[in-house]
Amino acid sequence: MSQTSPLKRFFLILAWLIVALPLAWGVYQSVQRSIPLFSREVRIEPAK
Amino acid sequence: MKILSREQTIAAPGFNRWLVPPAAIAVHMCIGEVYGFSVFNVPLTRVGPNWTIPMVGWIYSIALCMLGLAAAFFGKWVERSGPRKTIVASCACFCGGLLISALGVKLQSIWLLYLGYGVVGGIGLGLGYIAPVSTLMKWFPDRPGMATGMAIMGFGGGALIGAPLGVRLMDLFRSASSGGVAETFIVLAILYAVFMLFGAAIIRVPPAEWRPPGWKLPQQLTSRPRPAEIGVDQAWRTRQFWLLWIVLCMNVSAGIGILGQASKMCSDMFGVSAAVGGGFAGLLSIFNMGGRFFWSSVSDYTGRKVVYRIYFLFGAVLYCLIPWTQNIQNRILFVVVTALIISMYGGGFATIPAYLRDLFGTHQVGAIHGRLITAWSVAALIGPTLVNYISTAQIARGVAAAEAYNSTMYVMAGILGIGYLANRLVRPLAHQETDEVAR
Repeated sequence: MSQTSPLKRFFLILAWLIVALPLAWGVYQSVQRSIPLFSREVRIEPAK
Repeated sequence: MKILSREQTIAAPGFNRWLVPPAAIAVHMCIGEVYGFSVFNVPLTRVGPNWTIPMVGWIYSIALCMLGLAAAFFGKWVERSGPRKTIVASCACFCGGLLISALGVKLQSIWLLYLGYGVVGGIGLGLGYIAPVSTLMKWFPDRPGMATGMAIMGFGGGALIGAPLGVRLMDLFRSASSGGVAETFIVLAILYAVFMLFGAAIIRVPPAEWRPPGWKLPQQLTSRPRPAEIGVDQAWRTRQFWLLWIVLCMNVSAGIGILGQASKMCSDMFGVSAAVGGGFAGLLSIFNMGGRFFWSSVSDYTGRKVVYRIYFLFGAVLYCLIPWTQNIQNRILFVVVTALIISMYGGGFATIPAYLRDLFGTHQVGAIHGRLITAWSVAALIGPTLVNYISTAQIARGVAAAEAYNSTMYVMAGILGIGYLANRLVRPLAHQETDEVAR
């Protein structure tokens, strides 16, 4: 069962993009939030 | 409806099997939102006059409990009905649960949230979790670990999308009179319905006896024995099923204890701000997601038993290293160690369907997987309770908050030791044993 027609190939790429783009957005958001973790400066929580 | 039946989803000649993973990921990516539900906790406490964090926390707990129960009880129906009907049912429950929850917010009824997101949504989680997994293993008999790893990776990724999306939508809909939670639930329900129905539309099951071109049965290629093809009612009466139940339960208990407390643990151990702790939790989610695909794919080459041996032995060593990273106050090393641990936690989830397939065949592997998921529900109670109980007891005994987690890490290493022993005892199902349980 192999798929060769350009339309089917386009549909396959589209299907992967539909799921890959939101995942990539989620990864990007998490990486951005985690950047301060690797900075040298450590902010100490104020004592409660 | 005929279009939803299993017969209607049998792939036509020329179908490309690589279309099935995006269908599975689309479904898992949506239901994985449950991992990010905590972003609604604080906004929900402002909805009702007496709503507290523990009250709101029950929504998540009920949902996870229902996930395990639904997967266990509806497993056989899922196998009978096929993936498309199951995904549509999952979509109706999960998105319907979000809509009921939106109504609960508008009416200030916490019980509607328990019913909506917790019970109805939780059933959607269970159905959606197991629906595409057995289909993928049938399409990829040559690489079942990689195939299930891709789907279950989507579940891990669900939190990465759901949490920031939920926050952004609440910001968008927030007004003087509303926190925007109800509107966010409605928009999420619509968005998730679109993605899940997309998955239902493109998923296909292979024709009977279909094999990838040029691929031969494993026993002709390797020394591994051919898996027996036995049903769920027989499988769960075997020793192998319960050993795998322990394997999953121990692996998840250890990992979920860290994941659930990641932000607070990082803040307590290294004195960083809550925002930095939150960033750490987000980073772990990436490794949770990546580990599902990586380790599960590795298991196709090493075998499942070997990869679980790595999770348990290497994992136990890593847990024992955490107190040392705290002692020397090396944050980067702490992040590396915990990230590896969480990658193996995710890997444990993703590898288990292929392990089941190796032992019981693909005949009713979805239903068997469903029953095994009850181990997750139990682990969700054991792991966080242990971490909370031990660290609280340590602080009560006068141990500094920064060092209160150290004993917990040794306990987690011990839990992994139990998992290692259970994994060691797993043997292929003997034909005689198969005959006995089938009687």
